[in-house]
Amino acid sequence: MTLDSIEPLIRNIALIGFALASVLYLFSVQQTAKVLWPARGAFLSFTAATLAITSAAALQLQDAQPLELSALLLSAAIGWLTVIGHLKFNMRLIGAFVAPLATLILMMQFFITPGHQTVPENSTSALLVDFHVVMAILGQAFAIIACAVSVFYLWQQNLLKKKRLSQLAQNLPAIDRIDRLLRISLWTGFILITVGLLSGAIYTQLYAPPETMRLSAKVIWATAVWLWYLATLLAKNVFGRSSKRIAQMCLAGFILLAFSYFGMGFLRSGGP
Amino acid sequence: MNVRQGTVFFLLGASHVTAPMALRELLFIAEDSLAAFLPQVHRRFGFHELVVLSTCNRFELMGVAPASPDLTAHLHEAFFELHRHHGTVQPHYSDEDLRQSLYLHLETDAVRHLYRVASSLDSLVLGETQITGQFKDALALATRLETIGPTVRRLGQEALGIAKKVRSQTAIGKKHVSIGHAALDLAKRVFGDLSAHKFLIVGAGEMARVTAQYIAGYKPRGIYIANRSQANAKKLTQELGVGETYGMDDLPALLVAADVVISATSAPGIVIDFAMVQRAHAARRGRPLILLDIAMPRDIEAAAGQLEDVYLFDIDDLQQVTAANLDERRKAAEEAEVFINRGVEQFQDWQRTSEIKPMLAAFRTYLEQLTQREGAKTLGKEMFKDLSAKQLEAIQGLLQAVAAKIAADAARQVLSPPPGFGQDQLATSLQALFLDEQPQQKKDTA
Repeated sequence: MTLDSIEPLIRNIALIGFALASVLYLFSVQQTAKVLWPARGAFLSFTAATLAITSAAALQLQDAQPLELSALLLSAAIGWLTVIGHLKFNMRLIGAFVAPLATLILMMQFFITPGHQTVPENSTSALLVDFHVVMAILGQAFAIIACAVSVFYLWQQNLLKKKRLSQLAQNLPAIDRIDRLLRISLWTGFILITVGLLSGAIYTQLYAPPETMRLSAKVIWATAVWLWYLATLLAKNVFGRSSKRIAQMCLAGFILLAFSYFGMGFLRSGGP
Repeated sequence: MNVRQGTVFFLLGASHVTAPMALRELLFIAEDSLAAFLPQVHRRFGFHELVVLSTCNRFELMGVAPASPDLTAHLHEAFFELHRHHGTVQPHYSDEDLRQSLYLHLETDAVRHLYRVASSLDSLVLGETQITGQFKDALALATRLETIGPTVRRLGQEALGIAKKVRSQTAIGKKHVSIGHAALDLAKRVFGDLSAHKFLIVGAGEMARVTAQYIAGYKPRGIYIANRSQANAKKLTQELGVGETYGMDDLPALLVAADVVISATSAPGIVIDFAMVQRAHAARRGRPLILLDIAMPRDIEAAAGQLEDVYLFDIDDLQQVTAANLDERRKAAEEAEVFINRGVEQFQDWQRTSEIKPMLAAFRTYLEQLTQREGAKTLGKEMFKDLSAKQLEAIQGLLQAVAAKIAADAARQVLSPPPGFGQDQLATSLQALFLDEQPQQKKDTA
């Protein structure tokens, strides 16, 4: 059995792992703090799936460019960010949001055949494209995490405001910590998306064939996403908007991002 | 038979179980005001004893009153009268409304309730320690005002003894359950790490002091204490060893600087209003602010909680914080009920003993008089006239010693009855055999 032949198997294992984690997370949210096995099982399954998808992406990288592996790389990135969020920030429920999303991203690969990617021959330009793709994927991953964190922020904040204190999730950190995580994800995501956009723009200006020098829908949506996140950061840091407003803006940003990724990037050109 | 012949031990009150917070905060009477009204009500209503327990969660009158068919109405009227003097309840609630929130316990039920209150088994936060101190203060006030008597004094001592046993011998005291701790638990739900934040304590009274001690334990970035009297605030910071003191005028600026505000003043009205919080909220630029209002009546305008990033909690909300530990505490409370039951039994024994003791004394007197009378009658006869005064005295002494021995044996048997007999049964028999007026006694008396 060659490495090439086991890659689809590993990818399918990852898909099953994310799907199983989704079910277990859903189950663990409804359980009391004393029933630990669904949450533990979910995290174990999620971590295994993340390892598997990372291995699959690493195996593919030998023959393919990052541009062609965007779905795998995005799944791996959000997977690792979730694992870090769980272990370092005690965001144990974040997987409940990310696991179904990772499952969805991987399942899309079964139904959609990515279009042919034109990989530049020039080594510098190829490197620039790879850098652009990696930055864009990581930026999207952080934006997804920001969205997940926003969901939990709004949930916890709503319970606190309505004084339903007994319903506060025990497996989530204090709301101040969630807020800090939201800010970190937002800033990091924004910086990465900015770098991704800039590197894309540099590539287009320096290396893209003249016939491709047009304002594509993908670029318009990517810029719209960037502008939205810029507006979100300005709302927080310049206009002093409440964290609740910022969390709501993050959710709206995620809808834009999802459309940009699935609607434009993935369906039309097979990648971000 | 009743040692308090014609009197009743009563406990009348309203608590978090029967009255909403809005009413409870009106019912609260500070010690200074109580000191002014309590003796008047004590005299006017003819109470033998009267003690008032006034806390943020309960207002109870307890004491000894003359038994009468309209006792309930009489006690209700005394309750209303006390609040008429204070003048906070009646503008908002009619007597009839107030009556709906009152409970009345008499005799053994009142004792049981008293013991449960002192042991914090009836507290909003089950097992909290402050109620015992508040109960001690109530007894001390009544002692100072001379409205307490032997019954309530004894019951108070018993209640404090039981409270001590409950705390030391059950798990009820193992968890942090005071209002101050519950407030900090709530703060932790918003700010996970309290040491990274600044605290503002408004007030420098007992509640503020206790809470400030808990806060100091977290070693926060700053503790600000704002109080009307800066001298009291300074005293508190000296006691804590940390903190800065401010006047109430500094509150607007402090609300911007602090992350957690704990208000525990005894001010009769709002101390931190909506406009003040709104201005601070604008200046904080989205930084969350926790307002913990543990004062009664409330210090912080409720509307402040509607602002984004402002989390306002009052005493009622604290109940939720402690809900997670409630089952454990309930189990401990069930164990504690054993101490309460034992205490009530001891009270009943004491009451019975107190009722029997005058009868035993009467029996002893009866025997002394009987031996004296019969001795004088017999020794006055002709056949004894040759006896010397010393001999006569010796015979009289012998008769009296026999009488004392019989009285002592009877008392011992009645107080510790042999198997198959009850205390009441023996006492009633003794009463019927010797003390109820007999035809012979009537004849003798005649």
